[in-house]
Amino acid sequence: MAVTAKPGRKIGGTVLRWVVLVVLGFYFVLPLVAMGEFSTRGINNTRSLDSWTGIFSDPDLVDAILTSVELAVLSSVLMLVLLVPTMAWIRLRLPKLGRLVEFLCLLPLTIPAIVLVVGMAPLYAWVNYFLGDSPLTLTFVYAVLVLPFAYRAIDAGLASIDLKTLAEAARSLGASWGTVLWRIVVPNIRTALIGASLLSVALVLGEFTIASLLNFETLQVQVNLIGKRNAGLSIAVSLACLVFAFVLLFLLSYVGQRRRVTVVED
Amino acid sequence: MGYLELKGLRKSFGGQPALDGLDLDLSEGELVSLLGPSGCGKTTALRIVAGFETADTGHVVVAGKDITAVPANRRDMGMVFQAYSLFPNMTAAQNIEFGLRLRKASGPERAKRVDELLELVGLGEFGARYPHQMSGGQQQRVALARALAIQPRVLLLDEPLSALDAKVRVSLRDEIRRIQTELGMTTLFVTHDQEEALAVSDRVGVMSQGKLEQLDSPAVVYREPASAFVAQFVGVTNAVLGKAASGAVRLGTFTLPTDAAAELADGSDVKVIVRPEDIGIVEHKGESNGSLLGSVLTQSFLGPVTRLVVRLDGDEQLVRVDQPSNLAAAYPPGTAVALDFNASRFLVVPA
Amino acid sequence: MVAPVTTSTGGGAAKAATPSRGGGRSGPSTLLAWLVVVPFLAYVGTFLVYPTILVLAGAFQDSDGGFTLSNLTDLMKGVYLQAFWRSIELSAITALLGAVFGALLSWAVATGNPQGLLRRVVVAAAGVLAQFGGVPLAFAFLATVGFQGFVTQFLRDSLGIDLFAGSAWIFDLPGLTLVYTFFQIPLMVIVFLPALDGLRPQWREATESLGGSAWTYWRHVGGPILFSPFLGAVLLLFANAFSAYATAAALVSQGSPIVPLQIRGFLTGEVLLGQENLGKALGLGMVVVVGVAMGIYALLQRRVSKWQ
Repeated sequence: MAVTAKPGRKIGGTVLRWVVLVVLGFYFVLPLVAMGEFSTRGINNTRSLDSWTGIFSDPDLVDAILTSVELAVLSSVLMLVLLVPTMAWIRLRLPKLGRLVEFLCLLPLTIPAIVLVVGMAPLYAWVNYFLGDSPLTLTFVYAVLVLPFAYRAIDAGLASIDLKTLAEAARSLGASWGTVLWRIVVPNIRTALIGASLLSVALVLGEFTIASLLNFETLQVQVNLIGKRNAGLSIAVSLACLVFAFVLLFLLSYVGQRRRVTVVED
Repeated sequence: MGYLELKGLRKSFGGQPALDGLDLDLSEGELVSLLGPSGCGKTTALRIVAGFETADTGHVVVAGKDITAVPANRRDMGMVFQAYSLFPNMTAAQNIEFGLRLRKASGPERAKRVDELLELVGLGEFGARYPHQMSGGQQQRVALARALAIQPRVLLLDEPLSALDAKVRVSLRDEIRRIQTELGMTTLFVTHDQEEALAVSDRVGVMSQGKLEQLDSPAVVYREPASAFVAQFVGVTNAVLGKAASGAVRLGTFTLPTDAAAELADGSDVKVIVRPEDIGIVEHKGESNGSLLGSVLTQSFLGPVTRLVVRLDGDEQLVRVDQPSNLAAAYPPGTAVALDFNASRFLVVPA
Repeated sequence: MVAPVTTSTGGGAAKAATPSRGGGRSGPSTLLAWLVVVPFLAYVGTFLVYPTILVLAGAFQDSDGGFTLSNLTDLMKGVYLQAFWRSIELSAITALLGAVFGALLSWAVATGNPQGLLRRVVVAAAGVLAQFGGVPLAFAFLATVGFQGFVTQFLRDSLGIDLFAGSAWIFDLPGLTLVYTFFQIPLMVIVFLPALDGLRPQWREATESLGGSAWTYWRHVGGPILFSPFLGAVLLLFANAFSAYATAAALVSQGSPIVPLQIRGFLTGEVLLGQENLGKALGLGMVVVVGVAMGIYALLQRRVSKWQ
């Protein structure tokens, strides 16, 4: 930033900065290294990739992974269907409801998942009675769980465009409200929607509390179960999960940036 | 010898030159503007004077003392930034008081000074307000008061008006000029707004690509631009394309009587730079008689003058011509006209 | 999962919107306008509000559904009260540790290039650990300092130090404290980095041109400005640790030192007769603690947003 005229101070700051980065970097990288080491242990101090290849040969785990991926997709879709029309409509026609919807969407932040699941248990007795006890019914809770994150992403997207004017322009050209939503709102907040979806996917893939206490075998639940008999395998999957989520978020940082660049060029 | 001297300042950022040998002298009590498009180096020059950047080569001298190596916090420069520079956690009065506190002024002395300064910038009632409770214009007044509180040797203004509404901008710039004159404060003012620079400065330095193109009084910079860049950056101007013809300039069938193109090869492309108010206009009837002919395309009313856009016959170039509004009615759109360039008021440059 | 509350852009924009839109008053069109919102409200009502009310109301009911305060009075004693204190202790300690080290890390990142690789990597990694860590974090912890962990083995084999000489501490509060810092520090980075980015370079330069040093700047300008965001972040981290379940659940399979694990006990059937609703009372207690922390956090946020 500003070039200071006091070299001594600047060097002091730089040294402290690197000390912080190196020490904390070590603190956070150490467990990752440990996971890598642990998950490649073989018999008698040899190295082996059995834990890693085991990921694909354990049928329960593969099932759980598939279930979690399906859940992630379904929850993202349900979240988008619920939120996008509602949030756009509220900005356009019912601004008075803005506060209420915001409150509802952010509510899961104050209700810990462990508390929510207490109230979910009786509700899921009904859900499973009507829809069977497929783990995919978790979609209903997960769509609620991702609300705060998705709400913020979409809200930021909607705030960055002049929704009212765009909608009025489209309406004056003869577009129906459906067309406005599909052809005007969605394309213009595309990056926000991608962001909201990626966050939801990551959140669902990492969710443990509710799935485990409602007795559904999702990825994280399986990882935890397997850990009791085969720590190496669980640690390998855990490392894979962390790395996968990291890649997802890392890419997300570029998605956000591309939008900023276009804004500047405007 | 000037009170503030910038000597041979050079600075580049990552290989890109921002300042390419800038020399500038300000006499005591003088207000000099640095004017130019963004990236011309004007802000870099100001920040070097303030001590926020260090020049690669060159010196900054104040009252005969070289301060190039003095850190920013011991330079006694009053700086007003573009916007949002007030400390948000302090009231207007506390902001103004801050520099005095650092100088260990006594409580009563500080209070007296703060009152004077709030009065000076016309915000007597606003001492207890926080920045977020004030308008942009009021914030900039407080920022000015804060910079003046430490009785700086030089006042540095870094586009202090550019974030404000047009109306506030005009009233505040006049206010700044009044205060600056009252206090006799040597001031360096950086702006990209030519109207602003012309209105408040003793002298204006027009910068381009890290260099001063021209440094002179506002009237001279406007009336006698030293280069095409200055002419086009300051005020409204036409650049009419033509060809050099034995020292003179041919515009279509018309020959502009001048020797300004004497050093240019015959037939080479040239631009005639001329201000709209320096072009005469008469209604033209009948045969072509070797004058510059065209027809009026549009009229726009600008208050005291009306601007006519004239399309030249032949190559269809558009030329802006200003006429006093009471005379302009004689040239409704479609009128065939002949244009007359006032010989002393144009510039011929290679295109 | 707890995460930062941004100030309500939705509410702000809502205020700006003019209420005089065409059809705003006419009956049928208003009714239709409301219909669009019904699916969302119905859904959130069913899957968020209803279960929440079930918990909160259940806290005041006995096993036959009659009103009682005995669940709540039970919370105030014995293992439950201890669990609350332990939860609060764990959350407070990890919130402070997370806030201090997270603030340092944020500062180290904020002083670098905003588009740089370092910042992207740190922010993405912080996002993973803060919000999606859960069970994998518990296993990362075991792989590092578990009985057969990387560090445990290294210390034992190379330096002759036994990490577990005292006790199986990693499955109790000290272990939880350590593993919680792995998501508390990253959460602090996510929450605090925007506050640091909000410090304008002009403030530092203005301080300098008025004669101040770096110390003056932090003492009078930077520090006071960051005080509210820092305090808010501590509260947020507290609420986050207090609500966290997955990591602790994966790590601690026996005993229930903290409230979330107590609730697990009620859900997995370790319930004494006549105490079915005690789990809901624990839930109510958690909601109250988290709600208070988040409420103060939201108030602080409002004050912060004025300054930027």
